Amino acid sequence: MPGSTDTLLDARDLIISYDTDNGVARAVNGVSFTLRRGETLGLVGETGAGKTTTALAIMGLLPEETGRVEGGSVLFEGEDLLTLPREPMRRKRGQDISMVFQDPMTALNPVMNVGEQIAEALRSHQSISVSAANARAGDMLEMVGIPRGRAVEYPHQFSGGMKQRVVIAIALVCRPKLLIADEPTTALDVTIQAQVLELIARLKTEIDTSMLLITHDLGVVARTCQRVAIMYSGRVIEMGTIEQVFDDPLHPYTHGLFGSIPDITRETRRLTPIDGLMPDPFSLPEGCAFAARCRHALPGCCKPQSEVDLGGGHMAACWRAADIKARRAGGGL
Amino acid sequence: MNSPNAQSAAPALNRKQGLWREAWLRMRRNTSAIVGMALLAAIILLAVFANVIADYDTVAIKIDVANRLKPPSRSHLFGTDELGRDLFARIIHGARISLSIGFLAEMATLALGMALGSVSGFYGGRIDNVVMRFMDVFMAIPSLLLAIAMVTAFGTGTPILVLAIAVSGAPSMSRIVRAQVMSAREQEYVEAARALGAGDMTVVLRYILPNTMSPIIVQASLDMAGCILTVSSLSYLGLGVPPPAPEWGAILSAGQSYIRDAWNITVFPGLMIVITVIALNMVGDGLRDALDPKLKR
Amino acid sequence: MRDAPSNPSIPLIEARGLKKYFDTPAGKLHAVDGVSFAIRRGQTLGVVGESGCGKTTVGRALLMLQPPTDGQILFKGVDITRLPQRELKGLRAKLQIIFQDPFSSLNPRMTVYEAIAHPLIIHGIYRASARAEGRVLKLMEMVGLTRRVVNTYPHELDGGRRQRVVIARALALEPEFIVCDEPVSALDVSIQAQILNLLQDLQEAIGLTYLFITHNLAVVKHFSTEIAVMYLGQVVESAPTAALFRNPLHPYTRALISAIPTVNIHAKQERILLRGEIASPVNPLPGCRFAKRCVFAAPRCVGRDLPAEEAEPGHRVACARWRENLTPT
Repeated sequence: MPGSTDTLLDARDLIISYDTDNGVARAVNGVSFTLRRGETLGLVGETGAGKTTTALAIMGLLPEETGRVEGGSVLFEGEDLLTLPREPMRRKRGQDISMVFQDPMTALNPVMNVGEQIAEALRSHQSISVSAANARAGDMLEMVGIPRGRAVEYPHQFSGGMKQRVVIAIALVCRPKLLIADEPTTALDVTIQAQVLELIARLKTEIDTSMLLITHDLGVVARTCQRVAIMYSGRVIEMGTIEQVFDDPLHPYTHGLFGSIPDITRETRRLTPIDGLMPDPFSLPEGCAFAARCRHALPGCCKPQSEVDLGGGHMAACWRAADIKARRAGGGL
Repeated sequence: MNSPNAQSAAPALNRKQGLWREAWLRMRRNTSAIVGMALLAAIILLAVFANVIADYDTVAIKIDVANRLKPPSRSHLFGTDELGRDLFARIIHGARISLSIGFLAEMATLALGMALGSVSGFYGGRIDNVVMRFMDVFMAIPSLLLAIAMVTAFGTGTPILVLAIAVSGAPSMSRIVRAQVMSAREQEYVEAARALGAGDMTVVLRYILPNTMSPIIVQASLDMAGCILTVSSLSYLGLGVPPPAPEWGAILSAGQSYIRDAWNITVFPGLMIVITVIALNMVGDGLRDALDPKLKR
Repeated sequence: MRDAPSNPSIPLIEARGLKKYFDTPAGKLHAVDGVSFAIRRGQTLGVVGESGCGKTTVGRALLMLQPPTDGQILFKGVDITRLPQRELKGLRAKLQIIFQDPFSSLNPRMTVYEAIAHPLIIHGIYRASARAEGRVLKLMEMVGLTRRVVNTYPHELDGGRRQRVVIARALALEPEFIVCDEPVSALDVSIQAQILNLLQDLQEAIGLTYLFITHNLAVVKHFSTEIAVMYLGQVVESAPTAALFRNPLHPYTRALISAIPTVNIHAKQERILLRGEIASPVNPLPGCRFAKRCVFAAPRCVGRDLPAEEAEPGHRVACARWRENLTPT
């Protein structure tokens, strides 16, 4: 599948570390995934799983002084973004790939009206007259459900949900091929989150883009994505379609994650949490990073784990996954 | 991050100095802070052992007209002044005066500023309004003018000098303390303490002040440089420490009439003021980075 | 250890017509506007709502951390809003709170030991911090903290452990009632479950009563025996948990339930998308405060305040049209 024409983004064995005062933090340790054209892929994980670092690497926005790509590649339409020089990368950002951040409160410039901010995003990539850019900014605002008359207002005059709509308008004004949304609704209230998710889904089809949705919320993934990649300790440990992963989670971590979530449609008297903590990124274990917390752990788990294909593109980085699948099918679990 | 900070040994209670030790470890890696501390230590050592190096009565203030306005030489390291006194001896004895007045003035500023600022910040409302308007009035008067006015009104002498500098420095210090206390007051742990039944005193002493100390310490070390400058300025104007005490500003002032013939009388005390002030600022900046690592990176 | 329930018919804690107004430059903010509820010993009332609905203020007012503008708070039948300061301090031991953000609710300058021992010192149970050692270690064990972290500072711990410290500190005074203000929303999913289970275990072990404040209906459904849904300072619907989810009556409750993203990809969820955004209850007009965003709003929803009506035993709803069995078009 990698290299085939419908693959838009292909991350392979991405390794990223940060230099800190306390030593080298290994934030991303061999992340691989593919994103097809027109698809929404959910990148799910807890704090410190390496989701945002992966996104920043794709955007070429890792902190220059401390962040370091140690290996791997990120092919975007067949071109490796990691080796792209600064200027062409800058042109790609906003034009072909754009990003929506978690906090709409700080993502906007407080001293510039929102219309100007949208127009500026457009004008930094396309030679277009000021009036034409302003007209497009107005169109964009309407597209995200804000009357175009509000273009002259400043960010503080908008509520949180409205600000996030403006941020989305800025991200989409150049009609990028890829939208990376990093926890786009985490800072919002549930009813507003529902509105914004609906909006993102609608715009994605309208302007025909692909999306990488980073979130910790499996419910949001179920609502928005076609495929999902679960990250743990800097690796994708399970990947597949929503049905594959949600109906039949095969990596013990994914399974544990589902056991930790109270769900509105189910009766749960008691949750089954995963004991312990994610390993310290300053001293990662040799083999499976989850082994210390895993109920199925065996001595073989201390060797590096490679991805196991369980059929139909369902992958899990656990050598026991097939075994677990068989046992579950047989009612053993 | 989640490093389970290895503490495998049996818990020994009250490991009190933890946070300060961490700050010290960070400070140790900061070259300019170390240089500043070394300079400051050298000046303090000179001041402490001033009498061992050169006796006050027989060298620092002994007039020897035959040897006046000598350039630096082997017997007089910095040369001599207009009355033939050894300049090096005067400067290291001057360090005693400048540093001690500077330190005392800063302590007084701190005490005034912290008292006013924490009351104002903690209680807010009308008390805050009254205290702060009062401080505004003081801030509207240039601090040197205020100090001059006080010295002229109450006469010279170390206590007056210290008080004058403290009064002119307290308003800005109290503003900093007030802002710190106000933001600490809104922290959830303060509300948590209240929920546990803690009273005002406990809340201020255990929860608020300890969390406001780092920026205040930084400010105090930077302020102290200002205090030393003020003392020197006042002495330069003839309002500081009375002669024959060898205050740096006074030496500088006396030397300026001879600047064409004897550059050393103005340059050396000037240099000492500059070095001390820079050293204090380097330490202050170092403290800022060490106590609040969030500001860096 | 604790006094026996004096009279089981008296709720442990009860709010009657609780109001908390704040003066803002824009006018009077009706943060909590006439909220009433009662919680029996050993039960959990979940208060759920979005930002600005007043749920946090209800918790603060209930503990007299922000004394209410009006209304009564009865703890074992005694109105604590009228107690003198000194008696209130004694009562603080029985009424505790766990905050949302364990990163900010612990004093960064106190070690784990000091944080847990401090309430015992404040209340004069121990004179010196060092004497409390046995009790502190016992509390740490109760909340699942290893002895190893006894001398660490909060910034050296992860969120889950910090929240355990906050819980241990709240338990130090052997409280009977604890306000849990979003106790897990700042934590990661796998850690959330650990803390929720801990709170459940503690409730069973020592008979705690909780007011559980959250924006997350799924958490509240899992955790509470009863639920009150708040919108702009008022309770719009309250019912035993099962009844609320079986038969949600208020359009806001229904919208809230429909907005929660579920991980059950085969569940059929009603989809009610609300229009507009949450306002703020500054100088509110009489009438339903939700009407502006409600898909079923009618002229009679505004103009006069709507009293809560009892739809079935224990299930109260404040909606002019709850009987009409409305379906979104």
